[in-house]
Amino acid sequence: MPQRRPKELDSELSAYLDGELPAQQRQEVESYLAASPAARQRLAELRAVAASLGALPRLRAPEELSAALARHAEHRVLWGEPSAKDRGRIIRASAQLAAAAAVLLIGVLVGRHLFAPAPLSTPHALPAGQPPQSLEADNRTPIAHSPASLDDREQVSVAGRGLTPVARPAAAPDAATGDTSTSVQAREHTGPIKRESALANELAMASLGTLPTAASEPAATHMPISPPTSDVEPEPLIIVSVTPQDAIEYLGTGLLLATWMTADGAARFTGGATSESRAAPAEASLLPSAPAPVELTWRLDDQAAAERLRRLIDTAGRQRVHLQTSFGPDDSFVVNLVARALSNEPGSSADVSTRSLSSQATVLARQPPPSLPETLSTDATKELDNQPSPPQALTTGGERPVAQSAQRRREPRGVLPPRKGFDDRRTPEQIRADMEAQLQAATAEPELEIVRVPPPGEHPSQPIPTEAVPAPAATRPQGEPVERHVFFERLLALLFPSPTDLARALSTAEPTGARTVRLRVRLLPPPEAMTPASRPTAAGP
Amino acid sequence: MNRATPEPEPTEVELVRRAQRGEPTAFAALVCRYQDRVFNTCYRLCHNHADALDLTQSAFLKALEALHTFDGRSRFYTWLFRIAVNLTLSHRRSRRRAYTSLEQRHGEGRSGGAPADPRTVGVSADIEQKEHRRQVEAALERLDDEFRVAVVLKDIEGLDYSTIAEILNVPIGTVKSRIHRGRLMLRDLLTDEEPSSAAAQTKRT
Repeated sequence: MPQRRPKELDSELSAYLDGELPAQQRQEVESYLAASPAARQRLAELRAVAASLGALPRLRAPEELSAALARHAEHRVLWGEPSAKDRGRIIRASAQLAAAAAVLLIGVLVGRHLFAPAPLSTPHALPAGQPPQSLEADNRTPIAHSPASLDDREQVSVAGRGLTPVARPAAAPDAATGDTSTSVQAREHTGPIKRESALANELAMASLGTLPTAASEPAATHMPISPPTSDVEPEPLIIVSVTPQDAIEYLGTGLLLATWMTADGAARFTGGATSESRAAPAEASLLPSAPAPVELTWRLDDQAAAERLRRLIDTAGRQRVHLQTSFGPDDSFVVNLVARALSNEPGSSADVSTRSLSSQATVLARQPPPSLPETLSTDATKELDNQPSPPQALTTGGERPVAQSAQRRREPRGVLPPRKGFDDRRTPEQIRADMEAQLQAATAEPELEIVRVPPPGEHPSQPIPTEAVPAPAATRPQGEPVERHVFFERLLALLFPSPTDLARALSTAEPTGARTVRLRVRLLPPPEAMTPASRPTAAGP
Repeated sequence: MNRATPEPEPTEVELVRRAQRGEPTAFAALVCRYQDRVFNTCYRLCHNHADALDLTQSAFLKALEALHTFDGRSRFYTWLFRIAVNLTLSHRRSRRRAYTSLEQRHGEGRSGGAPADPRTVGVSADIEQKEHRRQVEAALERLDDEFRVAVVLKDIEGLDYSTIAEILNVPIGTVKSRIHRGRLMLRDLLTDEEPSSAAAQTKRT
């Protein structure tokens, strides 16, 4: 065998170091090393490098990982084979997990409650059998509901479905799950809706590995993740409905929410001023010892709440996030919360814009447009009146119905029929100028405009509700229709069936603007989990 | 007197077989067995804790989904590592296109200067060791992916050349070359030199 050149031998020093050379080559290298001090020097250097690498600390995977993956394996057995494209994230970084786990229910109490703990009003229940009325059709007819159940107020209809929040007696809570009215979520998933408390239990069970079998648990079941509903007081709500992209995300999100829900046992925290006291669910166990769902109320400042909300959105369903908020005399809190949650997060796919009755329009989106979005000129629903906000009017003795304020808002031309009483004679240019001038103004009474981005699998030719308008170009996925649901009025009507109710509620507000905001997260089943029979149709009841 | 003998730990093959039959606990056992190694490797390759966790999780999920295709001709952990490494490299490629994280820039910035002389700054041995470790990590981060993965699998994971070749799906000679040149590059980086010509040849090989 011909003698190899030093360069060739030099290239085998690492293999020699690693003991990966056959005997003959090893002897050659050893001869080379014996003859060459430089080669010995290089070998020493290579050894030092290898030793340095080997001395790097070995990191351990977070403990949640194995639990979550094991849960996924179990879930997969129950749910069947996910599609090939499924690449969900059960959890993200532990930091994100910790933050996301804090988002199931955020109650914010700053000072004392804005809204009285007592029911705001006596419900004006519809007679049995009476078909639900559309808020659109009756021009903001106050919709009765039972104040005893928060579920009722969640039944916010969506455009194209009759917009029919329906009163239900509190004494028949199961009837509330009968889907007589259609929530935003239920419209998308027409599976049976269970009571939230029961489902929260189920989720907790699932987190403990006791998920019912697939046979007993229809995959299309609506799975809201929320604490047991309060039987006492209607409170302002922020509802976040997360639609995971797939079963994997669904499970991961469920785990996060279950963790959060049970992280603090049966504790209920109310009162106080800062978020720090309850801002560390990071240490929460993924497998809580007590599966009982509890109502947790965190005291958070809006920034902390927004951060957690943002992380949930980022971690969980990235397709659709519905946000719904109520209002108060100082709702910049809520607006800030949502804004912070969504505006500065490039990874967030939620498209949410907020606006205010009091001449404030702020567009929040994944990539906030630098100026007024294009659709403002065409979407007249964004045109806001310049009247004093209802809370201000009411707290000074006014009894202006909430719906009146909403009525003054123009409807998008060609999309909704014009309403009586609309009296805005400004030119589009004036309106636009006003809007731009108002963008920087302080928010007094915000509302959310929901932009629904259909999931990729949804057929583009599916009928779009009548309120559908194009989304801003900066936020709309290519070629996908976008629905916009402006349901502020409906929410108002649900929360406060009559102006008196609103006046009463606002009269309890502290001068400091103290208020309680509850946030509820509902986890919807992923599209893959739905059987064809249970897949919703756009126009179905 | 009979003494209860502990149940022998199931072998990897057995666990895989049970997992293929749909036993979640078997898959969980596999996860427990390898999650640290996979996570550590992912972290050393991507140098980001959150990404490493994501990638580890994705690797296991992908393995779970494709478990029925695993035919047992290679070891499970080799197969799993291949998934994890491919995911990580793919992730890095996409990330490189997207942006360079502030974290990485920060790390590079800190490692840009010459190593501090402990005699002049008077730091303790512990701090010196940490500083050296940080320099090694920064140097590792600067390696091209193909060399980094080779030296990580060899010097951090302790895999042999044939296993690395199987994971990377390249000939053993390529593995040998990459490890050697990767170490040379690291040596140069750790001595605050530009990679030598020998190390620079790596891209041509």
